Amino acid sequence: MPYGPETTNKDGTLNEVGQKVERCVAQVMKDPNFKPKTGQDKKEAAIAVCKASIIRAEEVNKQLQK
Amino acid sequence: MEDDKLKDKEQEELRALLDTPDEGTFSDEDDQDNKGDQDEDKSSSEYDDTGDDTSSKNTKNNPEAGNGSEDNKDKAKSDTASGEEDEDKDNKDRWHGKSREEVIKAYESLEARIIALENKADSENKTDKDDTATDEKADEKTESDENEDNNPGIPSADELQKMTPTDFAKWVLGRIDEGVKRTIETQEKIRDAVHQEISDARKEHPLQDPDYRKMVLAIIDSASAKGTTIPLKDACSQVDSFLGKHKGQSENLSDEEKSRLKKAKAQVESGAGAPTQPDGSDAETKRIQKALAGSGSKSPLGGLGI
Repeated sequence: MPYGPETTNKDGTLNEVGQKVERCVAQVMKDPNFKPKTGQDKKEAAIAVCKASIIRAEEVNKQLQK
Repeated sequence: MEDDKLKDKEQEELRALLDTPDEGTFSDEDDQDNKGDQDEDKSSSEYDDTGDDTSSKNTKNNPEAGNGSEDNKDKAKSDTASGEEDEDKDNKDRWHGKSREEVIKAYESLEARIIALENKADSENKTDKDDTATDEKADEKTESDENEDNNPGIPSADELQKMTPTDFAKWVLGRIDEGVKRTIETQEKIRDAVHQEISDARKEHPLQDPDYRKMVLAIIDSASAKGTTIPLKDACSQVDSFLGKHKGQSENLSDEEKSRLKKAKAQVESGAGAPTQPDGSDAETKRIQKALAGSGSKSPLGGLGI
């Protein structure tokens, strides 16, 4: 579970959300302007930011589909 | 004859009295000395007679002869005993010849000294304990801070060692419950926030339209792919601007369109109405077009505001 239980399938592979998070993290890590808070790892911060935005987007998608 | 016998007896008694010392103790010592001399003579005679058996017999006679260490111990004991005896003698001599008041004063001064020494020792122990306690607290704090920084919520090694297996299982289950609760809470928060956002946006934007919704979702997804979060209202406004249906702008345009339509209507009514000739030239249409195309239309659906 590299990004949490909501990003993996039962067999341990990344699901759609996990793949989105992975792509997002790679993109954020390339961004030179992205600076985490003091005392925080850059990758951890990138994962947190990407997860929050992607999970919210998924929730918006779910609720708009209803 | 009897007188002679009596005289002899008296003389013998006198001789006996003269031969014996004045005190009886000396006679005993002399007897012991004589006995010792006799023993020594006996032992010397035995050494002379037996030859090789001297060592064994010597040990028999003196069982401590072969153990030099025991002799030394005995000597040390005797030395310490003698030292203690000397101290006792000194202490006895210390109080010897002193008056009762002097003894009492000396005893009181000794008691005062003992109390002072005890207080000093207590204060030193307290300071040592305080120092050690502060050091231990500081160490514990640094260790706990490090543990919290490295592994938040995980107990220290000492606490883990104190735990029984059931305690550890309870702790693990508690941790799992906490994690589940936390994730559920965050999910609920996100759900509520999104629900509120959608209900607000639906009042102003046609989110029931599937095409419109797809465009909004595409904008939100593209933003989330970059790790940024765009509010739903902003996404809707972007879609509106893309479609040219921004609410305020459309109202302004409709006013312009209305004024242009009024002008066009007036021109048509004033004489530029219907063409007199059925196969008339395009002059009338060009005139109407000129009238309508005064400011030009920015709407993708034409200049009539349709």
